[in-house]
Formats: sequence, structure tokens, C-alpha cells
Amino acid sequence: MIRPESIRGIILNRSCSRRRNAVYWRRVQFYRGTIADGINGFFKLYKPQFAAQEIHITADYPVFTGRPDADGIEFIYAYLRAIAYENAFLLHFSPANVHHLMLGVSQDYASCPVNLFEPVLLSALGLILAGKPPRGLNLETADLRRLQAMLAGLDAHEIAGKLTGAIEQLQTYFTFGVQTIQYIRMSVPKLADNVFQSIRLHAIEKCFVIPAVSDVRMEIISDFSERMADADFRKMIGALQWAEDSAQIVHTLIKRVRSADDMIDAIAVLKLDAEQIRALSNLLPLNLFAPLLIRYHSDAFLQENREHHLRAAKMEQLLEDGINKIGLGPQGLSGAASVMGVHIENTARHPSAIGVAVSTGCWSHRRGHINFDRDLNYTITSHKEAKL
Amino acid sequence: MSKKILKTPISAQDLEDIRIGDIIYLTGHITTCRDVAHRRLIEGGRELPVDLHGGAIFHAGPIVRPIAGQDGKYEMVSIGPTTSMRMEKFEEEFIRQTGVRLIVGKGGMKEGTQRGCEKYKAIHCVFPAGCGVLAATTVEEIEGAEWMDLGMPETLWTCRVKEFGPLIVSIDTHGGNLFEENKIKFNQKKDAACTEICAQVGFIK
Repeated sequence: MIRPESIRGIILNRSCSRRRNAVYWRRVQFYRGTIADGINGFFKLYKPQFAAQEIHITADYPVFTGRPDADGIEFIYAYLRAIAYENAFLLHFSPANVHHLMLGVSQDYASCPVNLFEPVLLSALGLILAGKPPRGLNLETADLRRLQAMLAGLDAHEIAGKLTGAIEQLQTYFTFGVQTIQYIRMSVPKLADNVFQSIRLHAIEKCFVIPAVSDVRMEIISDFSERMADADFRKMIGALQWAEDSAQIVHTLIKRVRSADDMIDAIAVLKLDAEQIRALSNLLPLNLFAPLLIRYHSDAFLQENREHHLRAAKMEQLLEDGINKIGLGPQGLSGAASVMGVHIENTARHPSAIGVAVSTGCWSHRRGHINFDRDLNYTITSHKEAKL
Repeated sequence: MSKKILKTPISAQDLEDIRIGDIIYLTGHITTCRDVAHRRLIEGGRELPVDLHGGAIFHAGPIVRPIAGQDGKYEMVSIGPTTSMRMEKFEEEFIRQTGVRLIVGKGGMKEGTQRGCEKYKAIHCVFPAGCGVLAATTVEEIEGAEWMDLGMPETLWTCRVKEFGPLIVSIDTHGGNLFEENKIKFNQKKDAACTEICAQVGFIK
């Protein structure tokens, strides 16, 4: 029952697992995530004779040859093979050199889904074309000028010829496995096309990258400051729960709460009325809008809204009657009833986009509701039998 | 009216009298076959590991469970149809290559399948959606499982069934297509309903 690809996939995974832990991989978040959690996690759960596609993998790390056009274990196998060849090539260079080259690509390359193989290979080939040894991955501005002079005016096919020649020379410096060199040669058309485009756009440095030395990161300033002290938070909530002035409650929340987490907690604890919710939803940033919606989704609230929107209610009825007049019937096989009800809700949207959700047939919309407090104690309000 | 029960292997002649809208049942064998199996056959050019000549396929991703104590044996828990339309672009060629006579799924299919059904003598039926557990009760035994590397829903499960149905015929061997014909009627009624609603919602800017 076990397909040969399954066995080859498992063997390949084991044989690669030691080598692909090479130092510079560890820096790259997406590579680590894919290999450690994605692929290894997949094989941990994978039973070759069963249940392959139920197991999700996160193959976020982009290999140069692109996402393999296959399914199931065949996808994993093709993907691992690409990683194995790219890894085999990269292991010929020192981690420090690769790191500095990648910093030249992007200061935060380690947390971006970028491929390592392409910039390293192009840097090595660029050095050879510029008449220098490839090992250091240390192209300089003068080299780029030389490359620009050499490659400008050539078409992608001629550039591919140059790169192929450089790959032959590359083998006088390094010894590659048969399949690795095949993979490298297979990459030439895509590499050549990228180089051709970059020269056309006067951006040769995007292909042949100059390494950067420094490792300085830009600090991201958070919009949200620290949480309030527990005692202060409880005091504020206590005061708000007894407050009578509706507008005052919203005002206090907006003024006093500085951290996103506190706002989420406050929304969860306070009983806000429709007017306050409307006021808050206009004032809160988008990421805090979601907890507001989760807290206030009950039918009672919708019912209240319905009375406020008589036109919408009228349209609900018009649509329900109109849809039923079409005569679609259950499963589209015709009949008098097609919908059991129509509900119109309103929410904010971007002016250029209208959101549409369609769920039909076998889709069953199951929901549950759990409240967690800040100590992770929970109460399940929707299902009596459920336990966590 | 007596119950119309097809038995596999099905011949072209068996399908001769069946028309769209008829309700039929199946006794014999039916194999689940959906997206990736269609892709592997048509796009990948790979031979299907199940002989479907005169046979039946079911667009479905069933839930099965291993039978305790019997190695490699599985029983059917739930087997409801999946949307057939996703297989539309492969189905004409699929019918030609496999010689399948009965295709069961959910919702209609279009010209390609209609052409294939007329040319190579096959029919498409829908099994009522949402009744997967009922369908499972007609499965007497799972006799085969191929391409298990694709996981439970995509595996080709060959089931021996008894009076599997009701199956509502949506495409027959005479060029009839229930869903497409209904669509024309629905569209006419839709235009009338739209005009009526539009006249009353002038408040939408």
C-alpha cells in the first residue's frame, strides 16, 4: 500500500535533517519554521498508508524553483528535494559570508520569506564573471559596473549562456554532487530572466547583491504602551460599571486604557449598550474592533439593531420573498422554498471593496463561546458537555 | 411505480430508458473519486488503479474508520457527495478514458459532462446533500482502497453497496441536463423578482 514516494520522502527527510541544521539556516525564521515545525511535524504525524492530506504543513520557505506542482506526499518529496539541493550548494559557503550577503538583500531577511539560494548563486557567478574567486560572496560596486558593461544589451538567452559558462568555472572551485549541479543548471533560465529584467530596469544590484556588514535593526515602536497595574484596572472597571453617563464610559476607556490587552479585557467585562458600542467602534483601531464584535454578537443586540433599521428590515423581507419566487428549491432541484430567512447586517468597509461571503450546501456553521479570564480560567457558555 | 435499481457492471442499454428527473438506486460497486484522482488521470496521465468499465464513481470525500482486529479493513462512517462542478473540466475525458457509466455527486455539471454522457453513454446523478450517514448505511463493505497517500477524503474507496440512493438523474444519455434546463427557468423568474424588488428600494444610494 505504501507508495515509493512515501518511502523516499521519509528517507530523504531523515538523511537531510542533520545537514540542514547548518548554522545560517537557523537564523532564517521561515526556513526554521518550515523545516522544524512544518516538515518534521508532518512526518511525526504522517502515516503513509492513511491520512496524508489531513495533515497541514507550512511550506513557507520559498525554494528557487517554486512550489512543486504535485499533491500529497509527492509535494513533500519534490519540495524536500529542492531544499536538499539548495542546501548542498549553500554548504560550500561560510555562514558569515551568506549572512552578510543576505543583509545586503534585506536588513530583516531573517524574518522574511526570502530564498537564500538565488542571491548566493548569483553572487558567486557574478564574481566569476568579474574575474574574482567566488568563495567570499563579496561583490563590490566596481564589479557591478563591469557586469553591467558585460551584460547590458544581451537578451535573456545570451545571459543564460554567460551564466552557464560561469557555472562550469564554478566547478573548478567546488565539487558538487551530480544532482546538485543538475539543479543549478536547471535554474539558469529563471536566473537569466531575472538578471535580464534587472538590467533592463537599471537595477543590477537587485540581482548581484553587494553584502552589507552591519546588522543594525530598525526599532519598531509599538502603538500600545504597557498594561495598567491590576489594582488600577480593577478600580477603573469598578467605577465604570456603576457610571451613569453613557458618553463618560466611552470617554474614560479611550482616555485611560493604553494597551491593547487592557482594552480587550475591558470590552469583555463591561456591559456596553448599543450606543456605546457604536461610539467605540468608530474610535477603536481595527485590531480592537474584532474583540468588540466577538463580545457583542448576541441575537438580542441584533434584534435591537433591527428596529433601528426599518429600511433594512423591509429589504430583508423583500429579498426573502423575491428569492423564494425564483423557485430554486432545496439543492437547486426546484421548489417553493429556497431560503428560510434573510438577515442584513452592516459593518465598516473600505470604499473600494465589498465583502461577500457565501456558504451553501454541506457547510455547517458551528460555533461555540468560551470566556477566558486573565488567569486562563474559562467558562463555556454555549455547550454544557464541552471541556478543555 | 417500481423502484429502478441499476446493477454494476452497467451497460449502455441499461441507461437507455433513464431520463433526467428520474430517481434510481444502485446495487453493486461504486468508487469514490474526486479532485486529485481526476487530476492524476487527466493532467498527470497516470492510469487509474481501479477498473471503471461499466462502473460507478462517487464525487465524495468519505469518513472511514479501521475495523478493530482486521488489518487493512475499513468501514464506512459517512459518505456524502461533494460538489461535482469542480470535476467538470476533466469529466468528459474521464468518461472517455475509464468507460465509467454512472457518476454520482452534488449539484449539476455542464456541457463537457453532458457531451461525454451522450457520446459514451453515461449518466450523472445527485445524491441528496447532507445525508452522508444515510448513504453509509447502504455500504455493505469497503472492498478496496487505492492511492491512500492522498489521505482519507481523496483515496479511491471501492464500496459494495446495496440499493444506494435515492439518486436523482441530472444528466442522461440523450443530452438532457436537469440543472441547466432549470437554470433557464430560474433566470426568467429571477428577472421578474428583481424588477419587483428594485422598484421598492429607491432609498439605496
